[in-house]
Amino acid sequence: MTQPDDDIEQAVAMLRRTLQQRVTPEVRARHLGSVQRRAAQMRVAQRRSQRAARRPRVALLAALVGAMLIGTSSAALAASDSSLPGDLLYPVKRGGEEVRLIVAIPFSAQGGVQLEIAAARVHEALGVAQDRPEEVLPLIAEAQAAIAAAQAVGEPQVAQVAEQLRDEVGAAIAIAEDVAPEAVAALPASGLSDELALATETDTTTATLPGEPSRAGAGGLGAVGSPGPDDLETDPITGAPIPRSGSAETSTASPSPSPSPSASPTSSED
Amino acid sequence: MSLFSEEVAEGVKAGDPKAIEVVYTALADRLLSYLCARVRDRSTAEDLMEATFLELLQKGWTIRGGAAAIKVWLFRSAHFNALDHHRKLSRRPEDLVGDPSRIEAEDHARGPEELALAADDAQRVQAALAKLSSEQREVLELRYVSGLSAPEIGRVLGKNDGAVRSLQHRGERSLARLLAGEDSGDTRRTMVLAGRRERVPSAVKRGSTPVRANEG
Repeated sequence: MTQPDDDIEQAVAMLRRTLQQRVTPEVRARHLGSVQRRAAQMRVAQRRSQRAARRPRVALLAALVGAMLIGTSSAALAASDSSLPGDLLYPVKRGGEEVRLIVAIPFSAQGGVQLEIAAARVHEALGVAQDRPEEVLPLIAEAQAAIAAAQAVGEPQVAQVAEQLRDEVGAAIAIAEDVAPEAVAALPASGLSDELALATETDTTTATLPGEPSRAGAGGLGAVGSPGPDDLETDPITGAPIPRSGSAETSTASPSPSPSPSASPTSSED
Repeated sequence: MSLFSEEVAEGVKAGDPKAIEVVYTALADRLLSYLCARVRDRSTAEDLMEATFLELLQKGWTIRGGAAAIKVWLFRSAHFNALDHHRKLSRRPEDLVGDPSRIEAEDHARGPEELALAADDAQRVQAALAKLSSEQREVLELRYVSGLSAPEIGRVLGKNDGAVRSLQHRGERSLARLLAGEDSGDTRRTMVLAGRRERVPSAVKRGSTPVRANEG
């Protein structure tokens, strides 16, 4: 039996009319408010999870940066070993020495470090003697201070190292005097005598402490090669210092300063 | 023509609450009507609708397709939310037949006589719907209350086009008959069989089962 189309249309219309509902403004506001709140919660949760996911990456990055810094620092420290005052890496070298002094445990181990520092300063003095003679004596003074510090902590190798450095000290002072005698002469007398005491002392068992009266002739790093200021005479023509004959005669085992500024520093090293 | 732009659809997939609001404005009335018809309780329908839109916000990124796909997803989600509600209550929607006051929102614009007539109509329609099979009922609700097309209903209910059209056709005829006050032959046969069962219990032993009216 087929239902007439009219009946079906009426039934459908009635179905639509009776079941049709409208959302009230209050319900709409409540529903959309819930959606907004949930969206805000989701954003917070998403940010947290992103941060949590990023944390291991940050840790990895920090570890990499740390490793790179350590590697770079080690490389810079190694490269700075041969640097001279005024070089780009020279502060790194000095900083490294400070750190070595700080981490030297036990305290007596500082003596060895101080001797290494003294050797470094003497090498530097020799290295800058030709180009920057005015820096020679301050460097030797630092070397002397380092040796004194080593002696203060009872380092047994002090005498041996002082002996080893004596020739280099003498050579450095000689070169500096050749190139610019005024740079050496301009230094205060007391400071100069201290440095030269280091260079002229012959007794290798002790080193002169900074500020101590000079013990020239009694032993020191540069006794064999470097005459003191009292031993120098000035060339009347050039103004360059000329060592006295008596002290020059004693300077046989070390490079003696050239009698005239025209003499090559390298010849004195031979 | 789609109810909202593809740009809004993209916003929904990205979890943008403003895009959800546009979809709400376009589909809220239809969705509420469908859910009211399903659960027969306006307050519950409103709660289920809220849950459905929150799901859209949270799971919108899983939708493949544009505005049409979002519309189908929304009604499918509402369909399952209503089913879950029925499972929780452990009762069938037919249990609430005859209580239109739980569905209708307060309407102060209509007079008492008009409201009484509307309530009477609603009661008749619900009584008629309750006699349809659950599939016919749901197809008719989705078709005429929610305004979905046959293919869209098919995607919501997980049926093919032909099955949806068939259910719709049979449901319309049965509904028209019921509302017109006619009784179908099937119904008469059911009554006869029921009477026979009372008189002749052996019919039950033979395995003859009563045919439910309006099953198409």
